[in-house]
Amino acid sequence: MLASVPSATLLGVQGRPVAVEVHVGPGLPGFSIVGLPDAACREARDRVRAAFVSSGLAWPTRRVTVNLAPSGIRKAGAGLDLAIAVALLAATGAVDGRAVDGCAFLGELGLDGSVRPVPGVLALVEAVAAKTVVVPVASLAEASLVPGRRALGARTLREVLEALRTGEGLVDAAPRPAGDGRNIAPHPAPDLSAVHGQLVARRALEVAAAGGHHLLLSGPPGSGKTMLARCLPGLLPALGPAEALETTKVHSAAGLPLPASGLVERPPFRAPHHSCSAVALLGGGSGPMRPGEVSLATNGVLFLDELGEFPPSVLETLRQPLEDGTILVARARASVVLPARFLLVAATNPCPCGLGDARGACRCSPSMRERYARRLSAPLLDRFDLLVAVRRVPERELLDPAGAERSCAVAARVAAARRLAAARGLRCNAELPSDRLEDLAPLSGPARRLLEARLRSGALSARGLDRVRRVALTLADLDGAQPPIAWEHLVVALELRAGAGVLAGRGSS
Amino acid sequence: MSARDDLGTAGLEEGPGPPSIRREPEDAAWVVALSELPGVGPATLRRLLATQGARACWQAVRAGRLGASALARPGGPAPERRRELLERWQATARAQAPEQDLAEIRRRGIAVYVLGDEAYPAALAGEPTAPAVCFGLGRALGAGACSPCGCVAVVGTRSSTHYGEEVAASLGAGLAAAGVSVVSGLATGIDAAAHLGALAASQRGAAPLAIVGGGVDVVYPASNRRLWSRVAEAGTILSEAPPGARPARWRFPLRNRLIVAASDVVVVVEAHRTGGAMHAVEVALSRAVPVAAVPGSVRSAASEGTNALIADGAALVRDADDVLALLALRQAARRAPVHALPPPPVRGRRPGPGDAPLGVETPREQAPDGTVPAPGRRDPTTEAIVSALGTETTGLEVVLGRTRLDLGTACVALEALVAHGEVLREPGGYRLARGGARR
Repeated sequence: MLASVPSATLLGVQGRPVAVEVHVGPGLPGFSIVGLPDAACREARDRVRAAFVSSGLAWPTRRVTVNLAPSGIRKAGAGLDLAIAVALLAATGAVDGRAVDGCAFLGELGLDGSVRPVPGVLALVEAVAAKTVVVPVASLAEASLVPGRRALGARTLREVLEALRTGEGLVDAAPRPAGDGRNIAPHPAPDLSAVHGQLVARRALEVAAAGGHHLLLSGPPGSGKTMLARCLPGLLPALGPAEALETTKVHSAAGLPLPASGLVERPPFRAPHHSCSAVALLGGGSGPMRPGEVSLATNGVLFLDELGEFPPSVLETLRQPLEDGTILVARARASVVLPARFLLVAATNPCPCGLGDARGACRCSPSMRERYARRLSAPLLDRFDLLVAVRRVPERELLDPAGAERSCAVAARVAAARRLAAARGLRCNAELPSDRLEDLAPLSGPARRLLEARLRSGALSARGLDRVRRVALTLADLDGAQPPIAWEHLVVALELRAGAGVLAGRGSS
Repeated sequence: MSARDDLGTAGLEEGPGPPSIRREPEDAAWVVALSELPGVGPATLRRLLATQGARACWQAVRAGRLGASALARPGGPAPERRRELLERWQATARAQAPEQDLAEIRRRGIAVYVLGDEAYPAALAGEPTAPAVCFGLGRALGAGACSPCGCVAVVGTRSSTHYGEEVAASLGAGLAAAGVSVVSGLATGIDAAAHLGALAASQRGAAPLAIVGGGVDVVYPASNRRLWSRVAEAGTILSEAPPGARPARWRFPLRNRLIVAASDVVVVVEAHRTGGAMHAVEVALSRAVPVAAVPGSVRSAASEGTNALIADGAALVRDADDVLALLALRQAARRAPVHALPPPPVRGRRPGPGDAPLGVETPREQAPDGTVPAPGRRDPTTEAIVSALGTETTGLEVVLGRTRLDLGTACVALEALVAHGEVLREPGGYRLARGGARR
């Protein structure tokens, strides 16, 4: 007897449809899985058998062959367990084959017959063609995000069997509130009012949030670089529907816990430690090609603390995703494209002792400083739009009871600036293409003369020029000013890049 | 090889007077060959040459006849370590060809001075631990003093501030213009700034003298390559390390004693609480060479050492005139210990803050149209910014904290001030241009 049940397997952040075919025939009792299963998938044999027995179902005493079609692609993980079990039920005649028609199954089986969640349900549901998808009940909210599919949540194999026999018993997805009715919980980020002083860095943070400009904070230890960066998620607006779906897909594929709604609606904040490997940062690995930190931070913030401590080889790999917004992870067996459109925020000490910005205080030898500065290559530094020197805040300012501005006030300005960018057809000003700069961000006369002077003096490189203009546009947006870009905004944009000079005396470019 | 001279700090141990070594005619080649042996510092060399002539000594090393007892001294290396060292010396000596090596050194324009020669620099001859041999690049140092008006060491930290570098440069220029030879170590920071200043005035000024830790032909640090050749052109670079010697760590403290020996006064421009400059100060005090220091901000780590020196009684130096006065006192004390002091050098009007510093002619920058706004016509924002800045580099963050201005307003005002040349933009912040703004 033969039965076929649709399901899917995960590669990167995309699902690939898989037809689970089960043949139960004469021969010595046995159970084999063919069609390129990986180790976890091959172990389905033992899980399915135990789940059958625990659920009070008879295990067929005939030869069982499971084929996972198409046979050419590698099936990773335990997500096909439920589909194998259901196909086996259909093949042995325990359920009517017609009851299974048009229904896909996703989920891992426990030995007790429970249906457990698997990573990447969102992508998997998208991949299957069937109108109805049975998923683990824990993944129901996530599965119901895919339009045009009916998602049903299952708790146990027994429940699935009953539902196939009677047509009811599975959990239906709760209706989702309409787009405007979203009530997004505030981000648990620290509030900006807890940061004392640091007027320049605060402004830079606001500009980074408003325009999506990459930010590098440089300063001595204990000056609040990390604190500032951790405030950033509280300034960013909630994700739009498409962004939220994209980010959710990545987080789900990586097996990260999702919010109760199943949708990641706040921009993610990822802060990998500097011992991070290149594969962990970019994605890949054996099996399903897990998305890396750059993808997990997509539509959100990637924060690299102690940038100078990251291995230079790992840092250099960031250059391409920073440019393209995607990363193609290619391996001998398969290659996947993962989203990697993130706001890069980094913090570094200016030299090994950390005091390098205050000349004279630092006791690092010039060669030590040079070695330290070499860890950050010029092309990488060039990709930061905002380079800000953070200083230790004097004690009296730390104890100043006059509270600083709260995150919500800054977030309101950021949201307004983002709306202006959206009106230009951009996600944020940092993505403004160079050929549209003249059109969308023309320079006023004094501003043009200032830029000419800086270019002539060599203080600004041609590559830095466009970045400064984009930052100036964001500053104008934050102030509610209309183009052309005023001299005042350009001066501030240049100043917010000036921290580059502190990094081992490299010219600000 | 160990990173230490085999006799360690014993390089500074002194006898009652200038050391004497056994000399034979035409033995420079062998003295040089001995100085090139691994780990041989000035003290070891003196010890070797105290008993026998250089040629005989070298031949003994080469033949392995030199007994390990020749290196024995209280607290010195253990006997097996001495034997091992002698074996390494023997291997090195076998590869040497002293006479050809000396000819090659001279062909490359490096002068060789052996203690006892007529031409041996007078500046070092009186030093109790004078090197048995030293090497010179550039202008030949005669038996006379390197400058009739005296020599002044201008030393300081390598991690200096703009303030320190500017003061060092102006001291260097002022002293050189007054005919005083500036002695320094050609390190980065204060050393380099002092010599750059001296070179700026050297057309009519005294020749600079550099005493370096490595061979005179080994530029270290590499960033000083240009300065190195300029000093060699205008003055002299001196070293007791043989040509080609890498600047080993143990040589620098020994080098400091030569800087002190060659100088009548040691001026410390900027120094941290500990470090090479403070070591030079200790040497100077043990040699009774006057030490003077340039005061700095009490908040600047680079001035901690110098401020402490002043608190301890070192003479305070504001400009080259202060140093010249010290120099006159020192020379007077030397020449005529019982007579009255000679009149101090003629001092001009003490320069006002608006004057260019001595010897460094830097016409104040002016706005493109030639106007600098008069103090009275400035708006309150600009006034606030100017009063928040000083001659030290001040970060924008600090400016905002002092003025309570917002970022945009402050940036705009600063940009205007920079365009007018009243304020300088530097890595890490802003500072007032010299002689600008505060009048």
